[in-house]
Amino acid sequence: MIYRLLKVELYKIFSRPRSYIGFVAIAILVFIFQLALYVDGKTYLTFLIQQLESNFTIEGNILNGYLITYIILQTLIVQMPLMVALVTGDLLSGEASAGTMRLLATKPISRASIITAKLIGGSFYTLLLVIWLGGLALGFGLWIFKPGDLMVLSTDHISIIPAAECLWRFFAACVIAFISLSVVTTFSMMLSAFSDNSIVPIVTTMAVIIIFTIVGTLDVPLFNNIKPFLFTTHMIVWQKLFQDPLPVSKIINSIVIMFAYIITFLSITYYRFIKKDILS
Amino acid sequence: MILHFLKNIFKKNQYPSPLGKVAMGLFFFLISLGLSKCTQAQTASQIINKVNINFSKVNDYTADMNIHLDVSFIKMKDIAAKVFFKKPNKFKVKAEGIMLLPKQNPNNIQAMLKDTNSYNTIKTGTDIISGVTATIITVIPNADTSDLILGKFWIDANKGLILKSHLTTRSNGNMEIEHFYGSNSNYALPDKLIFTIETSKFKLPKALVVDLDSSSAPDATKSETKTGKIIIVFSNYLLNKGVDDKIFK
Repeated sequence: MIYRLLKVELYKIFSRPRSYIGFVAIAILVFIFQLALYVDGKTYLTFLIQQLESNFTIEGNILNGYLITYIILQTLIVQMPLMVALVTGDLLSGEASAGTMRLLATKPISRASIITAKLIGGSFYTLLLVIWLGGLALGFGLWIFKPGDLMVLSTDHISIIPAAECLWRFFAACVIAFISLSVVTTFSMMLSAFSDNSIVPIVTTMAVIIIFTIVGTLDVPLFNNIKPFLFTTHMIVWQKLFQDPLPVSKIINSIVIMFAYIITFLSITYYRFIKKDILS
Repeated sequence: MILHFLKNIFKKNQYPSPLGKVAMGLFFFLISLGLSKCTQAQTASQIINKVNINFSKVNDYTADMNIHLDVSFIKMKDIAAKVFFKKPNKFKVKAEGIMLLPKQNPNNIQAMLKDTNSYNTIKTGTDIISGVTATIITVIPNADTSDLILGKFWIDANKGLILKSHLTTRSNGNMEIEHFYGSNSNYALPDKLIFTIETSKFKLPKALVVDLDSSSAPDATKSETKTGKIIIVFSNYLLNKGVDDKIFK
């Protein structure tokens, strides 16, 4: 039964034009980044490493495919939750606003199965989006710029990751990005369970992510105690995969916290949807 | 004359008399004093020439290099590289990936010291470096435009080896290099070099590197200028076997 429900969910997701906005936007942005860095990458990089060059002679190909991929991921993963929310925020409330939820609930299927199918469908869409971003960025990056050691520039330090270690780190980064986006998927689904309007959960999810990200980025001592409780703080833990030595305990800690958020959001969603009076 | 005096003493007695023993002792004392005076009497230019003579035996070399960076703001694994040198001043380091090297390559010093007309030297004392008495020679370039403002070298005058150098340059500030020698000391080629460099505090704007994960709050307790170390270990030297010019392109 779940399989049939899932097929229906996937059909619904991929028959809506808005589901393709994320894929098109990512493709355009990746193309723009690759082109810009191909044309002006050396100037951009010279500006970034001029401080380092005052102390050292730097040899080797810095502007390589792995660096391009890292820059793209770093820039676009921040925007990815918004693209995910556009689809997953609509999964339950969209049915309610269209009046199809009541019809679906009259079928001999449990409400838990309906949510499970929608969750798997939303997660599959999220996974495809992550694969699309990682695949395009890495594939074109390596094809155009060739592989090489990855120089990761942070605000106060530089890490150089050997080329041989880059592929598994990017793969792990995509896995963590998927877990991070699953937090957004379940959060928007939870909001969706409370609303009969498809716009409200989408906009609320986007607003919460923007507010949390800004609060998390601000270097104001007032927010330092709040930051560990914001899920957006842990969603950027994929960046820690590009540190040497690998801060394993911090990464695991963030993953555990994200799973805790996922379970909490899902529990609320199940509880709310199962108890909900479906009137439309 | 001294020898004639000694011959007479030994002719008269098969074994040296107390007077002979004193004379012999005095003779060897004077000889050793003379030798040590002779060493001390080497001028700064003569000592530098000794260094140059050692290195002039090297026409070319290749060696394996292991570079270890101990700089607070750089996190990277040791780099394995290969170094190529060919007279007069062709120098190339090759590695597979990204490599950070000190601004001064090991042959810069030799190349600079070789041109003895471009600088003045002053002997400024002695010091003990790793148990060896080193003569300190200060090098002052003649040209105002030269990158080197002042060079101070701790040299083993007997072997003609630079044990330590302290360079003050216009472009890179102060740099100290410790030289350690092994089986190729006859050619003044070190087995290990430790560069101590001045590193200004590394800071990039958060927006520029899209770094959402770190705090950019300034740390008032930390000084703006720090030092870092670059340790280069050389091995598998191949000396004067010929190096193709193509490598340096």
